[in-house]
Amino acid sequence: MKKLFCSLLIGTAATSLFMLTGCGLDQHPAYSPGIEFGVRLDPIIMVGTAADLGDDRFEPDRPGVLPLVKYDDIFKPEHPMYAKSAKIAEREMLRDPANLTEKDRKELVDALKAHFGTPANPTINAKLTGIDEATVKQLQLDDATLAEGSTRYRVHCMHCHGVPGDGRGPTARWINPHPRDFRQGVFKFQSVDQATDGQNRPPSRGDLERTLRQGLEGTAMPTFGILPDRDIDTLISYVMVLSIRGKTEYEIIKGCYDFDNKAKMLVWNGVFPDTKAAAQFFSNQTIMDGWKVANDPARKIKVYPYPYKDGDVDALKKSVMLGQQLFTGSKEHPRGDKANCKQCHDDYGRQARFKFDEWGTFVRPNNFTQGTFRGGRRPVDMYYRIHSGINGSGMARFGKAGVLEGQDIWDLINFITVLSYPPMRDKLGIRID
Amino acid sequence: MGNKGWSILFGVVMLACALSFAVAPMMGWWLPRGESSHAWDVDFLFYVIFWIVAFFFILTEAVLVIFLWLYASNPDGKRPVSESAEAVGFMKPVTGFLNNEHRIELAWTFIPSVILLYIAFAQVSAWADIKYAARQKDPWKSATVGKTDGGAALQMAVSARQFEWRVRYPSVERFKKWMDPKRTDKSDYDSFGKAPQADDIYVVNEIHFWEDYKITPDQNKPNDHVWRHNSVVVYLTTRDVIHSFNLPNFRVKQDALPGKMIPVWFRTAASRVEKMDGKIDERYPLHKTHNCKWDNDKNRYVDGINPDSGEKDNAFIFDLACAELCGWGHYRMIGRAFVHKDQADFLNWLEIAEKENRKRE
Repeated sequence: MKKLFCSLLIGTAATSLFMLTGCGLDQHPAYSPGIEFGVRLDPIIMVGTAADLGDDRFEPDRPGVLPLVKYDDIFKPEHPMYAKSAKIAEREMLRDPANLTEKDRKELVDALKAHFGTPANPTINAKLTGIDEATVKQLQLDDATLAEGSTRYRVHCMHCHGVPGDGRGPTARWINPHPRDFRQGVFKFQSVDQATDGQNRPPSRGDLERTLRQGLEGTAMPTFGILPDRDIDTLISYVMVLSIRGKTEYEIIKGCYDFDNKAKMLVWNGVFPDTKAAAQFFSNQTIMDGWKVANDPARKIKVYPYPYKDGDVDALKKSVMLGQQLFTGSKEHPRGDKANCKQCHDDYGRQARFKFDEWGTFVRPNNFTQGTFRGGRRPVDMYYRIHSGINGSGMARFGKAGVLEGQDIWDLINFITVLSYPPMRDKLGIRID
Repeated sequence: MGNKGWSILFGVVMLACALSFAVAPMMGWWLPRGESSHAWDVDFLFYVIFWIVAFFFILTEAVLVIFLWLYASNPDGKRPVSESAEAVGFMKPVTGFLNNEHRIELAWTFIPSVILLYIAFAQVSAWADIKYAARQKDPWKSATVGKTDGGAALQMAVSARQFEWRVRYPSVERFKKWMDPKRTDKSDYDSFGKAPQADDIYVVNEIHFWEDYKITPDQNKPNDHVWRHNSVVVYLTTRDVIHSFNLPNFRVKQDALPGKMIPVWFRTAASRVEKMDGKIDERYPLHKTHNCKWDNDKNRYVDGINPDSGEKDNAFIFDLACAELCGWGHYRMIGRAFVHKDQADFLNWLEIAEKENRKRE
């Protein structure tokens, strides 16, 4: 008996050692078919701006605190929204999807599943969402690509961004800044014009590819440039579907129910005949009016040509001076009051305070003296950021008509670029102390 | 048979270890070919230690297996009685020696000490050559051979963070200035590691350098030239925790410590090392190291190219790995080393990278 036990033990240990090496096994196993996306459980910001959720603060965002995981959390004293929780509850600023009735929840789950499938078999149901073949092909949202992307997402992204793309995966808790929540269809770093036409548009596929290939410096998002090109393509497609699905869900919960204060329940408000119709409308709108438009090359930000000559130190000196005037909101510059970057980037970012963003998490205006640029350090990246803002973060869109002119943006970029190089500041006569 | 099963188990494990060692080079599980000038020294030390350890491993395992076999308990639970070392037939020639406790203690103290002292002294010069600044050729004059000059050593600054490598290169303008045989101003060369400039070039998870280059002492005689291997200086920093900069193919490994900037030197093993007198240094492996070429379809440089055939070859993928467990994403902190054919090809890449870094439209 003892002998049998011993040999069994050794046999199991040897086999499991062999399996641990992963030799010959599938490198990208798919989700098991039983897993479903479900319906979100974290609150949605309904009214008011992000600033109404809480005060700006100096103290850094503590890893381990993910704001808005559960609605009840805001009534705990350690939560960042605690100070304004009474007002949040009174104004019904947050909607808690836990208040959906069983029937509504089931209908919502079924409608979303019919449109977008499950993690193992993701899809964009062209028939239900009413999009044409050409769009599916252009955005690369066919089932084969999505199924492949889902397996890659499971290996490379899921542990931070979560199964439904909610930015609340197992490792997310320890990451500062928090991983992006795709479900509002809002992405920070993109090159799609948000200033002259529409705002909070999704990015183009090229923008997502750049984020994947370059990573986001200063955040926990690493580069995935070592992956094969095909993997990156399928990952982008899958992230798009997560975002479209999340946005549809978000819009339905936000727009199709009323809060019954007596029963503390969400009731269907009748704008759409039923959940199916609502899902159809919002998914179609998200794709056709959002992603399709964003992927139109004509919607890319039109960059004002760089007005100076390279190597012209005097011109650069002047440009940097104008940039500083804009940054500090100086009256000497005709548009100084319109830029006034120091309002948020206090003391060139060194005294910048954390603010709430549209996801209910903390975000800090950049400290330019450190020379870290999350959205990329190329001049054109900075142009995109200033021109069309950073979606969701509160960064304004200075490319709007009547705010800043193309040359002003280049002056600001030149100024911001030298801020992190003390010898260059001296050379160009910039004082920031 | 009794409980002799254990000796079989241990014997099988030992044989499996020896067997896997024997087949490892054929399966591609062994050390990759050394591509740097100090690879030969590192590999020599590795093999010396490896064979010493292998010898004692097999010796002790063999004794263990034999004793397990001889002294296994009987099925009735009775242990065999060993009255003296005489019982073990094969030990007879050494029993007299073993019985003398003083001599046996001397033996098991003296022999390992000699081995350890040998290893300690044998590694000194290799360690110093790799790590000591005093042993490095002045980077500013790294490619000076007699009166000819191929430029200063290539400098790059690597900043590690969870979980990627951000690499900073000098601008094309400064690079050209430093590679000029008539260069004089070394102020910005010396401060490169500590003082980033606004025109620096940044890439992520890729380090680029070149294999070797040609120095033509007399411009009128273009065929009369020498090949020099390229020196690389990496200024290593980390932005968060401890990482380790590891280029297995180049036998380079250096920890990055928070708050410190650590210089790392290595030289590519030139494929065409010829000295001024035309002799070839036999110690260096004579093979081509460059592993990348421009790909028109992908519109970027691709690595993993066999320089002889020009085809994709996994043996020519040079990883840049993190060799210090740095967090949950440690395994994905992996970049690639791109070795260009010559300085001109590297400069071509640097110009493309600079263009991308300066992009204004």
